[in-house]
Amino acid sequence: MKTNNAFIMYDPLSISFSILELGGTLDQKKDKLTGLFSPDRATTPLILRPQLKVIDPEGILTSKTQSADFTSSLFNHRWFANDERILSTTPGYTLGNNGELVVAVNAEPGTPINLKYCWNFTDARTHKVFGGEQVVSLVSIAVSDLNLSLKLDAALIIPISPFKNLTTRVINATFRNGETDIADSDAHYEWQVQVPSGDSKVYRAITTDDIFYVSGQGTKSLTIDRRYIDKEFIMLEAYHVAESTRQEYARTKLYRDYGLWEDKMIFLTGRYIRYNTKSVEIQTTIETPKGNIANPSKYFNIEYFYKTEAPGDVFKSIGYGEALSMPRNKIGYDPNVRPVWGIEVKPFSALRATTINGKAATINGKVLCIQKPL
Amino acid sequence: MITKPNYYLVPKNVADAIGLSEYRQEFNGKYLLSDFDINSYGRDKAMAQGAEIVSTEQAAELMNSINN
Repeated sequence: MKTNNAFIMYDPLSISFSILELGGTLDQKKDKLTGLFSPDRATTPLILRPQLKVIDPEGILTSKTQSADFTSSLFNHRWFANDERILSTTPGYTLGNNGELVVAVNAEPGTPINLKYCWNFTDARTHKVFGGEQVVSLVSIAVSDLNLSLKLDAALIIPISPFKNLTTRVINATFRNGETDIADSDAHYEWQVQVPSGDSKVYRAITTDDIFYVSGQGTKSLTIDRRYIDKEFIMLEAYHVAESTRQEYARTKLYRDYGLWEDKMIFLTGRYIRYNTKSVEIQTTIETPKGNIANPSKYFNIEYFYKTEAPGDVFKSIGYGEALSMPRNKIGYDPNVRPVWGIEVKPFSALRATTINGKAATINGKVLCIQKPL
Repeated sequence: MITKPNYYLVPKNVADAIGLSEYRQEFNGKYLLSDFDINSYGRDKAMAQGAEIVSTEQAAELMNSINN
C-alpha cells in the first residue's frame, strides 16, 4: 500500500489585543502642597480590562470581516507590578475575571509602576496555544498651585528712633498662598542683610555675629536691637517647602533717625557773674516735639567751648557732657571782656563693632562696640 | 494649575449605567464616583438623577469611615 500525507491548513488569525482603562487613567497628578492625588485611586480605583479581538479570515471562528470578542477565551492570566507577580493577596490590587485588574495604588511622582499583563489563547481550529504580553505604566507628576505673597509689617523704609524705651524692634512677615497663611512648618524663612562685597553689595544670611540681631532667624519674626542700627538693608527670603525654587522676597531699610530735635544751652548758675560767684554751670538740653530727652549725653556728643570777647580770642574746647562747671578763676574779672560759652551737639552713630584686621574685637566674649559723633 | 477633584454620590442606576457600580464604594445606597467617572455620562444628567457633589475632604472622610 502506498500512502501520502495531506496537510490541514488554516490561514492565521488576525488578533488585536488591548487593555482598556476604566474609571481613571494611567496618568495622575499629585499636589505637592496637599499630597492629594488626582484622580485618587484609593478612592476611585482604576480598572484595567484586557480585551482580545479576533478575525478569522476563513470565517470559521468569526465572520471573515468582523472581529469578535474572545476576551473570555484568554487564560493563564498573570499580572506583574514592576516585575513582581500580583497575587490575590497583593495589597492595592484586585484580580478579577478574564484578566481584569483593579488598581487602588497611586504612583508617586518619579516612581512609575509598570504593570505587565501576560496571557494565553488557544486557536480552536488548530488547538495551538499562543500568548502575548503588554505593559502599561502608571505615572504621576507633581504639581503645585502656588499664588505666593510675602509682606512685612514694616514700610520699605523704617526710621529707627534711638529714644524709644524698648531697645528691640520686631519685624513680622506674612507669607500666604492665595488667601491662606502658609503654616510655619510648610515655610522656609531666611532673613538677610546687605553687606559690601568688592565694588558691589550682596545679601547674606543674618547670623548671631550681626550685632543688631537678637532672634528670629529661620522664622517669620525678626527681632533686632535698635541700638545697633545705623543703616541696614534687610531682606526676607521665603519659599514653600514643597516648591523651594519659587522664592519670594520682601525688603526694608532700617535707619537710625533722631527726628526733630533742638539743642539749648542754659546757665544753671553764673548767668550774672558777681564778686562772690564761685563757678559757672552750664547745662545742655535736647528738646523734641515729644518733650526733652532724658540723659541727652547718651545719644548726643555734647562739646563745650569757651572764649572771651577780647580781640583775637578764639573758642577752645573745654569739655563734654550734659553739663559743665567752670571755676570762677578761669573766667576773668574784667567786665569789659565778657566770657562766651558755646556748645556743639552731634548725634551719636549706632553702636558699631570695633574691628581689628577686619574681625570684631571682643572682651570676655562680648563684641566691643563704639559710637562716634556724626 | 491643579484643582481639587470633586466626587459624587450617585444612585445605583447611574453607577450601573456608567458600568462602575461593581468597582465603586457604596454608601447608603449611593456610589462614590469621581469627576472623571461621570464625565462620559454627563454631570448635569447625573445631578438630575439624584447625584450629590462631595468635596475631596468629604470623600476622604467617607473612605476613612469604612477603612477604620
